[in-house]
Amino acid sequence: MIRLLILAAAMIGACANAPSAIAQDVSFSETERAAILRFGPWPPLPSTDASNRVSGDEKAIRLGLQLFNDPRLSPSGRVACASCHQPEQAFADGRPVAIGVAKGVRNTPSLLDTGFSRWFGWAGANDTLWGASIRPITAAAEMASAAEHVQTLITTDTTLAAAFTQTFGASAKAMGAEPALMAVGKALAAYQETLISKRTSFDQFRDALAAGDTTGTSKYADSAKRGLKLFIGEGRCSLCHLGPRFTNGEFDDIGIPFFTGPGKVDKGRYAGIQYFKKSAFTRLGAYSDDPAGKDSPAAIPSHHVALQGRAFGSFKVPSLRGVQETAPYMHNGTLNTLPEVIDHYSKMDQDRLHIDDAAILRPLNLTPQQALDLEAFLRSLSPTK
Amino acid sequence: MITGAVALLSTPTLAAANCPIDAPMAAAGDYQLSYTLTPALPTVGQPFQMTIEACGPANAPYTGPILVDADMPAHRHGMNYKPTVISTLPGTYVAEGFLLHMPGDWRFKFRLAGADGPVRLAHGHVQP
Ligand code: HEC
Ligand code: HEC
Repeated sequence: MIRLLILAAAMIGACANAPSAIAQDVSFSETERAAILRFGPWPPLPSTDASNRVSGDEKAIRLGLQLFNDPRLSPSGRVACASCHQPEQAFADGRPVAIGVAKGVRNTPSLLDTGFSRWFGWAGANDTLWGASIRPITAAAEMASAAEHVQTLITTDTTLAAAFTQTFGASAKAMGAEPALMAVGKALAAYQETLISKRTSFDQFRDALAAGDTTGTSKYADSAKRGLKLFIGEGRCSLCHLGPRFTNGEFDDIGIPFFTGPGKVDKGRYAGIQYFKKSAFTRLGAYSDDPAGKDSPAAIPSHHVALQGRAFGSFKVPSLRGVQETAPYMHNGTLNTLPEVIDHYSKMDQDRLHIDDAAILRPLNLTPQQALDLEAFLRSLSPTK
Repeated sequence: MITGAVALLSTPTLAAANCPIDAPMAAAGDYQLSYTLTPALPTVGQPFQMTIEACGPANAPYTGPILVDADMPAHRHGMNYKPTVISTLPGTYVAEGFLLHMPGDWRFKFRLAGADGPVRLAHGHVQP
């Protein structure tokens, strides 16, 4: 009896929340179903990075965790990786743009699931996680450190020195400053590869849909279902946000301004490719541990990436897993909330876009209900607390 | 690059082009070609290879240079990568470095050096 009452109350509640959807089941066509299944399964099968000899190594993971939290990596002794990539903030920092030794121009991305990326950073300046872990150590605005400083730290701190030698089979001193810095990057990478986001209510829905389990699919809110329909349909979001991480791993321009100050621009992917082509710390360089070297299949995109005009002002298509936790949004942190992001796509100014993106993105002119549905869907990509 | 070619040779079974091609995927004048992809169904956002069979005048294998590319005509954009082509046997080529970053209607484009100037061939590809 009590159960029935609660059920009735819940039903009234549900109807009150979604007046337009009374008793209307959201169903998906075969094509939609196939599109939805491609957002999973989650988590992906574990894999290791052939370019990093300590990828997956327990000792390296422990050393990486220690280093990640150690502010002494920066000469000021004040900035650690964890200062910006804060574990309790989904490994982001909640700020519009990062502040390290100085104020930067880009938003700190979450490091959850970063191990699955092909290109790292908003501009994809690195093609390995270890390369992307070395970049902030030496970047002026982030930790403003140098290989020699890192080598000295690893040599003089006895705990770090022991862990380093155990992991790499040689001391940082014997290795030399630059190889020791690479090794530090690889230990940091081994740790970050373990940062995998939790399953979400969307994943449960997706797996239930795959299994034909209608009791399972009915647990996913109708509003999120309608938002999902928009995401893969009219909204065209899944042209770029696709696959289990909701990203194609590539770069695009969605009309977020890229001026960073008077007369200054963030060239985005264009500068990223330029940086990458000059860097020695890549899958194509001598520090890659891949036995197949630069001919490894994993290095094919690194070989063939092309510097083209359309890369100018393009930024990485971010993963949308855990997006609820990583406000503010976009490469420069200018959109504060998910409703603001949805509003951006809804009222999109096409004059701001590259000509090719204008053929894909157009103002969606969403109704208030559609905007709420899309938001409900995006929130369902974060683990329930 | 040479080691790259050797690595490639071991993947698909390669033979000299069998000219003329029965049902070419693209043809213009004396020139025709067909191709296969490895994997046969590429995943969006993942690299793949293309093996090309090309024929020229007098039903002989085409042995000149081939440039390959891909674009989405409706979106007016191409790939973010530039594939490279290696000739393996007469009329047979392997192109590496393709990566289609969006689902939808793509087009593979080929440029051959014809006897009277460039020969442009194209074939549509629907990327799921
Ligand atoms: C001052 C704040 C700050 C500090 C300190 C910092 N980062 Fe970052 N991190 C950023 C910002 C900002 C970006 C984006 C950079 C870009 O796009 O150019 C980033 C990007 C990254 C990425 C690429 C993530 C992706 O998925 O694209 C990795 C990996 C990373 N940082 C690891 C580290 C490690 C390891 C350390 C410590 C050695 C560190 N970061 C220190 C702010 C910081
Ligand atoms: C043309 C490719 C493309 C399409 C289509 C697209 N996006 Fe994006 N999305 C991007 C890129 C690129 C960024 C980052 C832009 C920047 O920072 O300048 C982004 C950023 C975002 C962000 C912010 C994430 C973060 O962590 O900062 C969200 C949320 C988002 N998109 C949702 C959507 C939704 C919802 C749709 C459909 C209405 C959509 N996107 C359609 C490419 C695309």
